[in-house]
Amino acid sequence: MISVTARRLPLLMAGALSLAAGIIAGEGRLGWPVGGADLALVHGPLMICGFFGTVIGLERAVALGKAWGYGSPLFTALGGVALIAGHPWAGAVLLLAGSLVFVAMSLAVILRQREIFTTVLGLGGLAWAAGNLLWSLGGDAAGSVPLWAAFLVLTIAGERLELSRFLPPWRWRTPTLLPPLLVLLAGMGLGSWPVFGAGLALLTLWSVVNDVVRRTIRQAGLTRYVAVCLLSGYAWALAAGLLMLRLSPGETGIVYDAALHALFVGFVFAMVFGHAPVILPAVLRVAVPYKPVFYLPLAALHASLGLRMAGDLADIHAVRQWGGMLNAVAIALFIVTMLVTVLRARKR
Amino acid sequence: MLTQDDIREALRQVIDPDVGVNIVDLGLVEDIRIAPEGIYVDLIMTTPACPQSAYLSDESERVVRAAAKDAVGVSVAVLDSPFWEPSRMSASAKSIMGWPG
Repeated sequence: MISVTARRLPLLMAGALSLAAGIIAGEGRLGWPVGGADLALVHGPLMICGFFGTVIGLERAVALGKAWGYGSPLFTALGGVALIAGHPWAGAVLLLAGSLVFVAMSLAVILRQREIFTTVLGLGGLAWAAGNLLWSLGGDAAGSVPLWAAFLVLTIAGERLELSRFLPPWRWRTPTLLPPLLVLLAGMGLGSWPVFGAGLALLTLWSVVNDVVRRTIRQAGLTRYVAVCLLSGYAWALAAGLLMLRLSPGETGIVYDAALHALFVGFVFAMVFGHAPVILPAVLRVAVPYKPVFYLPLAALHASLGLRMAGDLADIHAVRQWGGMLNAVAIALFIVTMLVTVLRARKR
Repeated sequence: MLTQDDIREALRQVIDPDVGVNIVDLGLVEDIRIAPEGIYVDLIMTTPACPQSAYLSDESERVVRAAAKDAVGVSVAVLDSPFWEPSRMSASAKSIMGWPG
């Protein structure tokens, strides 16, 4: 019998391959001489579907505990490899297949537990599959971005909503969630960034009020670190929502660049940084004992993104370029920190 | 001979990292049974979408084994039901999460 780690690690590594290629593609877009013009075209799909999609799918499959669920990260990881190998259509179809398995997993969860948070998680999965379908039908990847953004925002919102049940009950919790959620979904459906941004900003404000971070920030060690990651991520999500309000339809200039990276780098990666030490023990059965040094990559992430935003908004290309490069350095620093922590814990 | 209370005490070392509170106070320990052939612990999760399941059951098994000094077998299961409800939280967990006393 193969150990759990031996079965799951290859999926995680394949997701990491998409991450590495996606980052290289992003640096290429910023004008760094990294080669691979074709790769630059699939920067978004590699990051969102190949990397985030694969790790989220793996996490969901572990939670559900059904063998078929692993089809989701398997297909999306292969999809990422196909994109890297220069087969965008095959990649898009594999990503679609993986996201459909993910939808099936979400449905299985909803059937077992009918709650608002399982529904929000399910809507996130549907948004992802819809974005992948649109892209595989020959659409421009940019047309799928609102759907992909909704996938990540709703997945994170659903998981945080679930944890909010530990807080004292508040009868307005669900009623006040619905308007931001509906505005976000409307923006996604219409492909309107200002509407999406309004929904995102409102949802973020709702989250800050209803997230357990309000309590866990007062704790110590790992729990507090996770809370700091979340709160700093929420600040970027709010910034992303406000920037989106200024976008006109079809605009893909520097404000668009700033808004998307505030969301995907500032919000989503801060969540990944906070979530990894909590989730790696569950997924890979390795210990990730908390160390204060965990704050270092987080600080590097936010500082480098701040630099990139400044470069975007002041329209100084060199500043944007260096901010983007340092984003990559912060992510690499995070991976090294996690690896060293895991290996040191194993030695003992 | 270990009692249920000893095992419950040992399980307090298992912390849910998302909230920083142990699984006993969160109300995730459904049952503890002591039989001649071993110790059985049943846990529940807050949701089937909870990826912490494997981690929390591994940790539970580890701390109970340590408490039992490997004298008997230890088996930890994660049940599909009942569903977790906030009323399962202890007074101290509620206080940490800001419930009015």
